[in-house]
Amino acid sequence: MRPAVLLLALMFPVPLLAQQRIDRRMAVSSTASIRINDLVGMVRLVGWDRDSLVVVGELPARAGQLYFGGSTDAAKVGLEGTDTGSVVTSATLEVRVPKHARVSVRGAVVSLDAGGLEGDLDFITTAGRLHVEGTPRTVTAETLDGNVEVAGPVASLRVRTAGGTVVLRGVRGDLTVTTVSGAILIGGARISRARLETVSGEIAWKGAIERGGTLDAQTHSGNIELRLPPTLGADLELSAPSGAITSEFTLKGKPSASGTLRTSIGDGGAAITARTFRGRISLLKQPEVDANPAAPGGISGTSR
Amino acid sequence: MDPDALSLEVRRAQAGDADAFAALYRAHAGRVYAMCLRLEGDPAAAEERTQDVFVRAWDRLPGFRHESAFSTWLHRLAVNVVLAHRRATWRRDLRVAVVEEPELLESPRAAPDPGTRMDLDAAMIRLPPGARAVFVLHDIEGYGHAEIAEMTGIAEGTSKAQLFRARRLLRRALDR
Amino acid sequence: MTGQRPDDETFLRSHLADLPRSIDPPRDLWPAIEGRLAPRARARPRIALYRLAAAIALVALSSAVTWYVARRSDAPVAVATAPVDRAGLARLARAGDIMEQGLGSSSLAPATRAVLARNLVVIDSAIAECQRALDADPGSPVLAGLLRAAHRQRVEFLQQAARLPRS
Repeated sequence: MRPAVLLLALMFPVPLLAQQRIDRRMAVSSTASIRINDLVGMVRLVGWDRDSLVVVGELPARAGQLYFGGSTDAAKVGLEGTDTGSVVTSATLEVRVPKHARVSVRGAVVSLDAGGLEGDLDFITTAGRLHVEGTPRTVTAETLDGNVEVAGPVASLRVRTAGGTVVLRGVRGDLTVTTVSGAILIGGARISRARLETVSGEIAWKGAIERGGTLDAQTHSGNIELRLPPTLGADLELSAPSGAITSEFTLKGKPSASGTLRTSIGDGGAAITARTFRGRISLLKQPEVDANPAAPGGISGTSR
Repeated sequence: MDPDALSLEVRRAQAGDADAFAALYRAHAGRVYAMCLRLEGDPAAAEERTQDVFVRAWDRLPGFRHESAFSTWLHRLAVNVVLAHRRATWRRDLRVAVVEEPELLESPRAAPDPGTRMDLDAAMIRLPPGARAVFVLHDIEGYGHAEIAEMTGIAEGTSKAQLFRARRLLRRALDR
Repeated sequence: MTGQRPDDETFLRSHLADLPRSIDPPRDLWPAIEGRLAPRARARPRIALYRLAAAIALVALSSAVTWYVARRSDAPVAVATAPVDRAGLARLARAGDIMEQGLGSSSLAPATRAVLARNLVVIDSAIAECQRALDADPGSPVLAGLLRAAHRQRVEFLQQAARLPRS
C-alpha cells in the first residue's frame, strides 16, 4: 500500500472523536430567506440588527459536515453526513440572522431557542423542541414529539405537536394549536381567533378575546379550563356529554339532553366554543389583579 | 497490458465476455479508485463508487464506439457516476457564491499528527467538498472550467473561485 | 488562473507531480462487481422508480386529502347543531386509512414510526369511543361533531407525518 493511502487510512478513524469549531459568516439582505436544515443538538437562533448571517459553535465530528452559503436573498445552513446511527446532543450552535429574515428550520432532532426575531419562523422536526421569545410576525411549528413554548406578542401562530406540551405566553392575533396527547397551556393571550384542539390532552386558557373574535377549544378526553376577564362579553357553546360544566360566571339556561349549554356572559360580542367528550369544562374569572398575567392557567403545570 | 491487448479485451467485453471485463477492471481499477477517493474523501465511499463505475461501464460498453481511448471514456464515466451520486449535495456546496476563507480546522477530519508532514492527498481530503471537487477535476484530472461547469451544474466563475479557494487552503495546510 | 497568485499554483505543482495517479483499492472489488453485473443495472432503476412513484403518490394523496378535509371541515361553532352526516364520516375515515397505508410504505425512521403508532393509538381510541357513543345515541349532533373532529385530527396528523424528513 502506498504511503498516501496509509496516511489516509490512519486519518479516518480519528474524526469520530474530534470536535469541530465552527465560525462562518456571510452578508445577506435584511429580509433574506434563510433555510436551516438537519442541525442537531442545541441551536440558538438570534435575530440581530446586522445584515449578515453568522454560525458559531462546536460540533462533534459525527454530527457531519457543515454547509453554509447561498445568495444574499436566500442562504442555507445545514449538516450533511450526520451519523444516523446515533443521536447527537452535544452540538451547540448559535445562528445569527437579520431580525426581519424569514427563517425556516427543518430537521430530525434539534432543540431550538429563538429570540429577537421579527420576521417569520417556520420549524418542522421529528423530535425537536422549540422555545421562542420575542416578537416574530409569524411562527409555524410542527414537531412530532417535542414541546413548543412561545413567549411574546406573536401575531400569527400555528403549532402542531403530537406528544409535546404547548405553552404560550402573551400571544396575540390568530392562533391555531393542535396536539394528540400534549397539553395546551396558554396565558396572557389576547386573540382575534384561536382554535385549540387535542385528543387526550388538557386545555388551559387564560386571556382575552377581542370583540367579534372566536375561541374554539376541543379535547376528547381532557379537561378544559377557561380563565376569562370578568368583564368579557361572549356567546358560549359548551359541550361536555360525560363531564360537568362549572362556572364562576353566572350562566343562564341548562345543558341540553346531549350535554350542550348555549348561553352568554356580559353583553356578548366574542364567541367561545368548548367541547370535551369525557372531561369537564371550567369557566373561571381572571383575578382583577393578576400578579403574573402571562402565566398559563394551571392544569398540568409548565412545559417539560 | 499493452493498448492492442486492451483494445481486444474491450471488444470481447463488449460482446459480453466477463473475463475480458475482469481484465479491464484489473488494468483500470487503480486510477478509477484514486479519482473516486479524492472526490469522495472517504475510502468506503470510494470503494462503493468504484464498484458503481464498473457496473455502469459494463452496462454502457455495448454503446462504446472506440472514438476515444477506453481509459478516457471510462474516466469520464467515472466522473459522471460520482457526480451523479453526490449531485444534490455538491450543487448546493458548489453554488456557494461567497469566496471566504474558512479555517481548515472546520473540516470534520482530524488534524494529522503534528510531527507528520501532510501530503497533498491528506490535505485535499480536508477541503470543503465543493472546493475539493473542483480541485480534483481541474488540477488532477485535467478538466477545464467549462467542462467542470457542465458536469457539476455550477457556473464557470464559481468553478474558478472554488479552485482559487482550494489552492489557497491547500497551500496553507502544506506550509504548516 | 483568474486572480490566482502565481506562487500558490507553482507551489502546488511539485506536490501534484508527486501525487500518485493510481491508488490500488484496499481490497479486491472484483467479486462484488461481478456479483452485481447483470441484475444491478436493471434492478436499481426500478427500485428508484418505485420509490419515486411512492413519494409522488403520497404527496398527491396528501394534497387530495387536504383539499377534501378543507372542503368538508365544519365551522367549529356550528358542530353542536350540525346534522349527523354518516356518509361524510365514512369518507373521512377512508381518507385517513388511505393516508395511513401510504405512510406504511414510506421510508420513515423506526423511532418516528413508533411515535406515529403511539399517537395513532390515542386517536383511534378516541374515534372508537365516540363511535360507540354515537351508536348508542345516533341522533346526537354533538357526538357526530366530536367523531368528525377525531377523524379529521387523524387525517391531519398523518399529513403532518407525511411532511416529516425521511430517513
